[in-house]
This record gives sequence, C-alpha cells and structure tokens, in this order.
Amino acid sequence: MTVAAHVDARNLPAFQQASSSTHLAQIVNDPYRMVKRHSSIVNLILHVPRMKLYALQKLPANWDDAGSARPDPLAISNAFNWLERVYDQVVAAQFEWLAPSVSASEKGEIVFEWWRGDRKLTVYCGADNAEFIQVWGVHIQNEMEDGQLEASGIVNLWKWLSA
Amino acid sequence: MIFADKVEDEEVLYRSVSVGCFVMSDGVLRLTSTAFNDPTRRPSVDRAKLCGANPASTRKRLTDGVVSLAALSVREIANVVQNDKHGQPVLPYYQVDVIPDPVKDHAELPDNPAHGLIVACPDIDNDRVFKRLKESLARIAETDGWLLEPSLANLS
Repeated sequence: MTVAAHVDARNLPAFQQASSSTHLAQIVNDPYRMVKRHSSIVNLILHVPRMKLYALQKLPANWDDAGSARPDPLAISNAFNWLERVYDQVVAAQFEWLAPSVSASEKGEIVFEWWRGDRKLTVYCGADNAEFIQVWGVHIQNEMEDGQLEASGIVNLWKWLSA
Repeated sequence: MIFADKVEDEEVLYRSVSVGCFVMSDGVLRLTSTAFNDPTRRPSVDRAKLCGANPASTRKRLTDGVVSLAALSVREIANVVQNDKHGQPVLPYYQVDVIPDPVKDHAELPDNPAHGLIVACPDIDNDRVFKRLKESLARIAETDGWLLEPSLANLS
C-alpha cells in the first residue's frame, strides 16, 4: 500500500506488553461495554415476544379453528423489526415498556396488542407495512382511530397509551 | 335468503376462544382481537338457548375458552363506517347483526342447530373496518366475561 510508505514508524506509539495485561485491558475499559450491556438487556426484555414470534412460524393454516391463514413468514420478519423499533423508541422517550400480546390475523398478519387501563393499542404487521388501531371503547366510529404505523409516530401512540 | 328463525336481542351468544387468542396481562385474562378472526368477515357464534345453555358444547378443543356476548350488544355496534382513500366517510353506514346459520349435512362440519353468524349489512369489504369490528367484539366479550376459562397451560 502506498499509504504505508508515508507512515513514519518513529511516530507510532510504542507497543507495551504491559498495556494488554494491566487495567487498560480490564472489562471496565472496554469501549463497547455499555453497548453490550444495553444489547443484552434488550435481548432479555424482548426475549418472550420474540419467542412468540418464532412460535408463530410453526402454526399451520386454520391454527385457530376459525379458518385463518398460516402466519405469513414475511410478516413475521417485518414484525421482528417493528417490535425492536417500537421498543427502542419507547425506551428512548423514557416511557415504561409493556410486553405485547403476540398473535396473528385471519390473513396471516402479525398482531401486537398492548393494554393500559381502558386504552388499547393494536399493531398489525403485514409483509411490507404496519397499521395501528387505538381503542378506548366499543364504538367503532367514535372510540377508535387507525392508520399506517410510521416510525415517527410511535412515541405519540405510546404517549396516548400511557396517559 | 330468508331466515324463518331470528336471533332475539336478549339472546346470549357463545364464542370459542382458541390457544393464541388470549393473554394474561396485569393479572387479567385478556381476550385478544384475534379471537374473532374470520376469513369471511362473518364471525361464528353459538346461540346459548339452542345448545342447552352449555358453553362447553361450543368449545372446538378441550383447551379452548368460551366467552359470551349479548345479541343486543352486538347490534348496538352502530355506525360502522368505511372511509375512502382520503379518509372521508363513505356511505352507507354498516348495521351489525346476528343471524341464525344452522349447520346441517355439511361436508366437513358437524351438525350444529345453534350456529349463528355476526354479520354486517352491507358486507364489510374493507380490512380496516373488520379490524375495528373485531376490537369491538373482543371488548364486549371481555366485559361479559369468560364462561369457561381456557387452559392456562396454553397461555400465549
């Protein structure tokens, strides 16, 4: 490499055997320590809903005896992404995380549901989209709202659920 | 189609809830909206008075739970609205109803004189409207309560 030709070896820091076995090599100095810790906490918290998503992959058609389609593998894949996205945004906004119910619709979409008091948030994940329904009563017109789920709208939905 | 029979407002309806359609949340056994999944958008129910008021007869499997709904509560799900692509309401509004649909001599299903259907008139041809209907049905059923709780060993 031509770049190497311009490197003056005399200016490089001297290698010290000691540095790899002293405090610099301790776990507390690992620059990725917090990242790893955060990652392991996220994995722990999302473990159960992820396991439920994996379990949906094994369901056959008519799994609910109501004639529902087999959960769509692409929708499951999309749901994995949305689950993490929702979690990240909820935690970043310093709201309390609630584990969702995980199920599937008659069309094979993946359905996440969260309850808080009288309020309920449902998210449907299809192969390439996601929709939400906010529910606060039985009246279909006056006590529900729905729309396309956008990453930018997650915090507002969660704020509504938590209010 | 003409139905000689009619589901009265005061009738109790049973719905079987299979594994995967309920969850324990904050110590409460919750019914998910998927408990009313139906590819034809006409969820099945059984009429209590025609199955000996025995909710166990509605179970499809021994592990299933059974919830109840009053026919009147279902009919009161009024103003089911369908929006156009711009989010504007499109007339007509839907009327939700419960109709008899006895099963007899079906190729795959056992005879069931108590069978009924929750339908909308006109038929719902919009996924988002049906999703709202399922939310409403789940909420009504949860209010009326579980007649038979599902096997918690199968809790989703």
